[in-house]
Order: sequence, then C-alpha cells, then structure tokens
Amino acid sequence: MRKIILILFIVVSYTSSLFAQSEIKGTIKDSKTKEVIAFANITLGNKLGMVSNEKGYFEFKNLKAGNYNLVVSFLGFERYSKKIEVKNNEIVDLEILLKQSYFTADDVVITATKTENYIQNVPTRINLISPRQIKSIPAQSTDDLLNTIPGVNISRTFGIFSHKSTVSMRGLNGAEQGRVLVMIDGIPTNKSDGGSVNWNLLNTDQIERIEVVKGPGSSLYGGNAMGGAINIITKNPKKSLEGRASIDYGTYNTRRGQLYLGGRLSEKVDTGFYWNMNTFYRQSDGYVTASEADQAANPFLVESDLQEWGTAAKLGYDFNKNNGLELSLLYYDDDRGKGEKVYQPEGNNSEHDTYHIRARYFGEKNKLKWNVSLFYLNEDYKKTSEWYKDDYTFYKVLSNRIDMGALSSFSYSLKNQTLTAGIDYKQGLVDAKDEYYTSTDLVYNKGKMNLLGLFLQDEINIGEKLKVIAGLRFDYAKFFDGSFAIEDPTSETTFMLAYHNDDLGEDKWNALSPKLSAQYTINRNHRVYASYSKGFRPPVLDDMCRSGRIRGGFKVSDPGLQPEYLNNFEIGTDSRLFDRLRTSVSAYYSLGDDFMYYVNTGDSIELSYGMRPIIKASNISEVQIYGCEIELNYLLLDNIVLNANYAYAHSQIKDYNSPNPNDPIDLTNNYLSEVPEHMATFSANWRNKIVNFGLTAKYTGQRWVNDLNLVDEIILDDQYPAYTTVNVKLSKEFYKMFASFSVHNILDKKFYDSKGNVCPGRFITIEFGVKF
Amino acid sequence: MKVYKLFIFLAIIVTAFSCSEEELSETDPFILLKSGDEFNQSGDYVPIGGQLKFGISAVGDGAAITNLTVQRITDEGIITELDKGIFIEKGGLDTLVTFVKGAANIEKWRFSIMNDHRDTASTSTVIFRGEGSAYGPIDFFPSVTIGYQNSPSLPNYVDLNAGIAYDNTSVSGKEATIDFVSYYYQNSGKSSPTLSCPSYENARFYFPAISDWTTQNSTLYDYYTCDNDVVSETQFDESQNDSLMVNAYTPNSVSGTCKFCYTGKIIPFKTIQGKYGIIKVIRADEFDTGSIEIAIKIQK
Repeated sequence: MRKIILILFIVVSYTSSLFAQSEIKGTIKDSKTKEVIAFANITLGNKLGMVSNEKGYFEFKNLKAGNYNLVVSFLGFERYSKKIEVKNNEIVDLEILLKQSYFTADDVVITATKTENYIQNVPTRINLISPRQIKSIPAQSTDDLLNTIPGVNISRTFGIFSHKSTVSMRGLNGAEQGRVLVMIDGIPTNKSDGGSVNWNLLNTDQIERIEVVKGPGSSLYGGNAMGGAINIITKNPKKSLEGRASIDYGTYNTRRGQLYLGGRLSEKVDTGFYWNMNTFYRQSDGYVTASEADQAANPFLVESDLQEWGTAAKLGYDFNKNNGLELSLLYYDDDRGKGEKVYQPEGNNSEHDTYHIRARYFGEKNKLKWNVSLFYLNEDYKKTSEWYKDDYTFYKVLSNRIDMGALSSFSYSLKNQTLTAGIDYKQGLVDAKDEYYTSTDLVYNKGKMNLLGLFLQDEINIGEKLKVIAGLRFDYAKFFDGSFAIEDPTSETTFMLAYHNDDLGEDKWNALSPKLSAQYTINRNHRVYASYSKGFRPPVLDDMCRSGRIRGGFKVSDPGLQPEYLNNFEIGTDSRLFDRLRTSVSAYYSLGDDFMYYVNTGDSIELSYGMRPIIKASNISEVQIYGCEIELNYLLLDNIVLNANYAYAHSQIKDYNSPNPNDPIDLTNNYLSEVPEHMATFSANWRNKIVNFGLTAKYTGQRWVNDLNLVDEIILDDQYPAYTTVNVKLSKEFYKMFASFSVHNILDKKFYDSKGNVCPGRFITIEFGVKF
Repeated sequence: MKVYKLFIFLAIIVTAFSCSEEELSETDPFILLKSGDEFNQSGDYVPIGGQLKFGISAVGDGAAITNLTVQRITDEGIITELDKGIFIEKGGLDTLVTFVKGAANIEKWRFSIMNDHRDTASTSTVIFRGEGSAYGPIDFFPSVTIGYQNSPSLPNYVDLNAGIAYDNTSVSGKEATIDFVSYYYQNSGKSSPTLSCPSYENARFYFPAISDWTTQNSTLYDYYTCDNDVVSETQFDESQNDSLMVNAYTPNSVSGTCKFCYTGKIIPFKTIQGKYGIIKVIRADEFDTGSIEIAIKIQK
C-alpha cells in the first residue's frame, strides 16, 4: 500500500511539474511616443522567436522554469536585451520600451552575408538608409536617398527629368552603372543589355529601407557587384488595413499623385495572407535643358517634359514567422521628352514600358534556412529621334530587354558558425532594332547571355570578439544567339554593312570571386575590421552584339569580350563615443584588371557628319583606385541628429595596352572620368512638435570629363567644376494628415553634363496627404 | 447549350475586335508623275547634259510622307540621286525635281515614297539619250573673300550665283539670295575652316542675324568628293562647261555644312535652285578672325 501511495505521489508530483509551465508575455512600445510597435523581432534564447502583433503584443507559452535571454529588435530602434528568470507557473508580463536609435549599427541587415546580422557584426562597410531617414531626406527619386552616404556618387543631371541615372561608388566611373549591383528585394535589376538600372521604377513611398554594401560583393552575388551592392527593400503591410494617399505640386508645373493600400488578412501578424499596392502618377511640363548658346542656334528646342506612372503590388502568405511565399508585380511606364521637337507630336523622347514579376519562397526548419526566388524582368524601350539638318531624319530605337532567372541560398547554423551556399541562374537577352522612317533602313541586333553561379560562405565566430567570414563563388557565362543585321540600307546605314553578321558565334568565360574578412570587437562601442574581396563585371550585350554610332565614333561589336575584375583590400573601424557620437572610418586600395575601354581599331568610317574612328570595347587596362571615407553621426539633442562625412577617391589608369599598335591614344596614368576626387556631405534631421526639418548639403568635387583628360569642346575645360547642392525638407504630421515642403538645389546651382545640357536648378515641391 | 452560346458570343467579340475601324481605313500611299509639257515624260529623248524635270505628286494616305527617293537605273547600276527625309502630313507631296541626263542610252528613273507607317509606293519612267550634247555654260568668279565669324571687316554672306559677298548692312534685302557663310572652329580638337548654308543650325549660331531671315537657303556640299580629292585643281581650272560640275557631285554624301576646307580643297555643291557648281579654296586662314578666299564655278 505504501508503495502504491509512493508511486501515486511521484506520478502526481511529476505531472504537476509537467503542467507547471510558465509564460513570458509583453507589449513593445516606443519609449518616446508610447506607440505600440508591431513586427518587432523577439527571440528567447537560441530556439524561440516571434514577431509582435499589430498591438505590439507577444507571448511565449509553455516555458520551462529557468533563465532566458530575451532580445527585441526593430529597425530604427536600439536593440533591447534582458535576462529573465522564470519560475514554475510564473507569468512574466513586460512592457518593453524601445529607444529610438539614431545610429544604424544597431540595425539588422541581410545584404552583406545573405543572413541576418547586425551591421556592427559584419566585417565590411555597410550603410543603411532607415525608414526615418527616408522620411526626412529631401528626395525626389530613389537614388536621391543615397546622396548622404559617403563615397556614393550620383549622376542625375536633370533631376526628375533624367531618364537615366547612375549610382557609383568608391572611385569607379560615375557614368557606368554596371559596376554596382542594384537589387529590389534581393533581385538584381542591372540589365544584361547595358548594365544600367532604371532608378525611376520605384516611388520612394514604396521603400522600407535601403542597404548599401561597399566593396566587391561578387563572392555572394556574382557579376556587377564589383564596386558594391545596393539592395532596395520594399514595404510590407503591418496592419489589417493601412493606406496613404498624397498629392504634390512643384516647379515646372510638376504634379504627382500617390496611393498606397495594404493589409493583413489574419489577426496574427506572422501568419496568413498579406497584400499591398502602391501606385503613382507624375507629370511635368519640364524645362529647356539646352544651354543658352544652343537655344539661340536650334529652332527646334522645346521643354524636356515627363509623364510617368507605376504600380507595384505584393501578395504574400506567411505560414509562420520565418516561412512564407511572396509574389511581387511591378509595372512602370514613362515618356520623357529630350528637349527637341521637329515634327513628331512628342518630339525626341524615350519611353520605358517595364514589368517585373518576382516570386520568393523562404523558410526555416531546425537550423536550416532557405530563400528561393524566381524573377522575370521585362523592359520595352523606345526612343524616338528626329532632327532637321540638311533634311529631315526620323527613326525609332525599339529594344526588348529581358532578364530572368532563379536565385537560391541555404544557410545552416552550427554552434559557432553559419554556412551559406546557393546556386543562381540568370539569362539576359536583348532583341532590338533601329527603324528608320525617313529612309528604308532597318538595323537589328540581338544576343543572349546565360550565367550560372555557385557560392559558399562561412561565418565563423571565434570567441565573442573575433568574427571571420570566408566566401567563394564560381560563375560560368555563355554568350550566344548574337547577330547584327541590316536591311534595305541607304546612305544612313550603308557604312555599317561591313559589320553585318547573322551569327556572332559563342563566347564562354568563368570568374572566381573569393572574399576573406575579419573583425575584432574591442567592446560594444569599438570594432576594427579588415577585408579582401574580388569582384567582376560581366561584359554587356550592347558591346557584344551591337555596332553603331556612339559619342566620338562608330562602335563595333566584340562578342569575345571578357569580364573585368577588381581586387579590393580594405580596413575600417567604428567607434561610439560619449554615447552620442558615432564615427566610422574606412580606407581601401583596389587594383582593377582587364577593364573595358573603347579603343581605336585604326580604321575610320564616313559618318554623315564626317570621318570618325572605328572603336571597339576591349579588355585592355589596369586601374588603381584608393581612397578613404570618414563619417560622423552626432546626436545633438534627443531629436536632432547631425551627420557629416567626407570621401576621397584617387582613380588612375596604370596600364593601357591597346590591341592596335598604331593607336595614338595611350591612357596610361590618366585619371578615370566622372569620379569626384573629393565629396563631402552634411545632413541634419530635427524632429519636433512644430515641424520636422531635414537638410542635406553635398559638395561634389571636380571630375575629369573624359578618360583622355583633354579639354572637352562643350564644357571648355578638362574637368567639370565642383559644385555644392543644398536640399531642405520641412514636414508635419497632424492627426491622419501630413504635409511637406521641399526645396532642392536651394542655391540654384546650374551644372552641365558633357553634352552641355543644364540641370533644372532650384526645384520646389509642396505635398499634402492623408494616411491611416 | 450555354457553352455553345458562350462560343458564339466570343466569336462575335473576336470578329468585332479583329476588324477595327483603323485597319479598315488603311490603304497604301500613292505616287504619280505629273504630265504636261513642262515635265519630262516616259520615252523622251534628252541629249547628254540636258536637264530632266519631273513633277511628283504623292499622298501618304492618312500618314505623313517621310521619304522621297529618286534613283537612276542604267546598265552600269543604280545611282540614288535623291534620298530625302521629309515630313508632309497634309495635302500630299507636290514637288519638282531636276536632274541632268547622263551618258547612258537608256535611263530608267524610279521615284519612291514612304510614309511614317513605313508603307511605300513607287513609279518609274524611261528616258532615252538624244543626239548631241547639252552641257551648259558656266559663270566663273576667280576670287571671292569671305570673313569668318569674328572677322572685323570682311563681308560674310555669299551669293553663289552672283559671286558676291555681302556684309551685315549690304545683305539687307538680299537674304533670299545667300547661299553660304563661312566660319572657323575647332572640331574635336581639329582645326576646321567651314562653309555652311544659312539653313544649317551652326550657321545661325555663328551668325545669329540669319535666324530672323524669312528665307534660309539650303546649299548642299559633297564632302565625299571633297574629302577624297576626287576632283583635282587642274580639272577645276580647265573646265569650260558644266560637265565637271554635274558629274563630280555625288548625292550620296552631302551636307549643308562642309568642314575642313583647307587651302587647295575642291568642293562640289548644289544650290537650292538645283544649280551645280564647284568651289576651289585658294586660301583658308586657321583662326576665327581670319578669312577664306575661294574661286567659284557655277552653272549659268
């Protein structure tokens, strides 16, 4: 009997202990505004994690008694960490107040390693444009948001009227987008045809944050990530229904309307369907971009106007916090005048008719995480050119550019390391023609390029202070189905017949991109890092399969082009001083091999405007680039953040081996064009009850106009003059309404591009809107 | 049954949309040669060097006419005498073109137009070689000096028919007779004495007064012959009729501006009135306050 009683006692004791489960729950709020924070990341130890719901609430049930480490993080707020001891049957109820963070080192990024990491834990230079900065930076376009990042050079001469903008960094040519990889939600958007990116595609309202990783990132991303990688991450809805609508009006009779709607169909924020849709329309009368001298000489000049609209939609389903499916669609259509009109209703203009389809499946099981994406990016580009010189000439360029593929990455966490591996496949193609209407000529070019990449990366934590990242990627590429053909030639194109080729053959190459980086964390406020990485830029289809006029001569296609490479060595340090000051310093030294340049073949050809040299893109030069970046962030008051940064870049051609022995041009020791040697930025962000204030001032130093480093006949100098722009934004939110007043280029500085066209000068915008 | 009705409904919709109004209204453009004594007709006999006059009438049929091409077809091959970009949106094309009868016994002349839908139409006529020769007389102006844009005193505006250069004052009332001006500049770092007709935009840049002229003549320079030194100075000096002028001018590579007019260059040209001529550059300064001295031979 005693035994029975003893057994019953043991069973009861055991089951009571079995059901003696504890709980940690709580609500997450902004320490300043006391507003709840939805979607905050909460982890409990190494195994448990969730996100806060729409009311900022979270709960971990059925916990065993013991000690737990609770960590809460959310973009724009300082990381919260607390050790909690939970007893049997105890319910711990917390109110967690997150402090707003003005230093982005506390934020989590994904672009640098394809795994989630705090910025300060990645041994490379990363800059983040946070949601708060997006609100306060006076920006008219996505690339404007990057203006405050040290070492980033933006070429957008005509402001919103530019159909093409280039974002380069760290001493690489400012006219080439192909040397910096640009992604939207992790999907590469550099076109295989020319490496360019349409920065007008996205409305700034659609963007959640932008992650910028400097230095070669080819060990993870392959081609284009030679100078760095920019990942634009778009918004996901946080409430069951949310919306925002606004209209703005600005200089040159510029009107824009924007509408955002989104929501989640489930009460739980980390499961169920979610959706959003963002659309915008903008129209402007524009201005005359030509210089005053050209205006007097050309009777056909008109204002360079613009009309554009875009829609992006997203539909997703979360199985749970870390498992889900997402489908994104983007459509964009624009019509930008080029400031000259003879007979055509729209005059000279360019049109982009673009759609992107992206699908993503991401998940996590035990220690394995995966992310698989499919994408299909289509751009129909149309350019109308007309002029009257001797007689009337009118033709259209019609180009279909497609990039599609599949990307995958898998991460496996071990005790002190995370292994990441993946396979990427991409196909780029172009199918284009020049269609003449004042003569019978038709000029066709087309080509395809397949890229296959495999990568492996290991993040190793050695103790708490040392972190090492080693990565290697192998890329294989094949160019095929290329042709350049001319039909019914007249004097407009007869000279191209010599380059007619129905089969440009095949070209294959491969690239190996290693990376090794390490950082030592001295303490929570100081760290140092060093890194070596190699990147490459693939040749573009336009250089491989199109022959035609370009500035300075007649370009001949070269299907045998190879990629160019950049080896980069970098050291850097970050410090947080006096709690309010954060400093970042980086220095880099890069050596480039096989850089592509247009070289004179030694022949010349009769164009309608005289004899011009025949030139060809060739892998011929070695370049040396070195520079440094210094950034200071200072929290002057709790609501005033100041940022100042300076970047120096020295970019020089060290060896130039023209394949043509008679080529009189030797660029050895010349400086790369379109690279400012000095850049400095100052920005201030003051949030207060009356009106929020954002200011950005940027100094862009002199840049060489051309790689010959000779006087340009239009600029009348060998370097563009230095200039400073100051942009200001005042904004106010009241109840569910908001308003802003922005002035770009407040000093009304007029700067020119290499064709002598001038920027729009001071540009004022007033915006009103409602949100819910 | 419902499926059957749905098919009928879809068929009606598809049929309706596949025959849009726009497509039904489209026909091809149309070109014809005018008749009448003032124009040459098919079967005409014209002596070598004789003038050929063709009247062209064309409609783009709802679309603008954007190109007019005239080709001379002989046993020797095809020469494109005119390949001109135009834009005639309403009323159609009504124009007169003149050429010179060549040496071939039979010349087939083909006239083609294209509209901005790239639809084309063409017609042709045949001209036979007549007896004798009809090369015509010429005017010769042995020395005309023209100042560049910053020349302090020399006249700038040249009437090729009269062989006279006018200055800013004396050109008043004679703007419609001016065939070219001359200026000097650096083209891609290369020194370039230049001749340019008033309708050319660079001419208006260096001589802004031209912008106010009601008539801005278009003179075409043959830079292929010029750049390749096809006509020698001796040929220029010895020519007594317009044979050299007519035959030296190759219409495939012409422009309203002629760059790099260095001393000794021989430049065939054609005026807005259709007259052929040749310029010899006797001397060309290579600074913008200087001048250019030329000799002119032109059809009477």
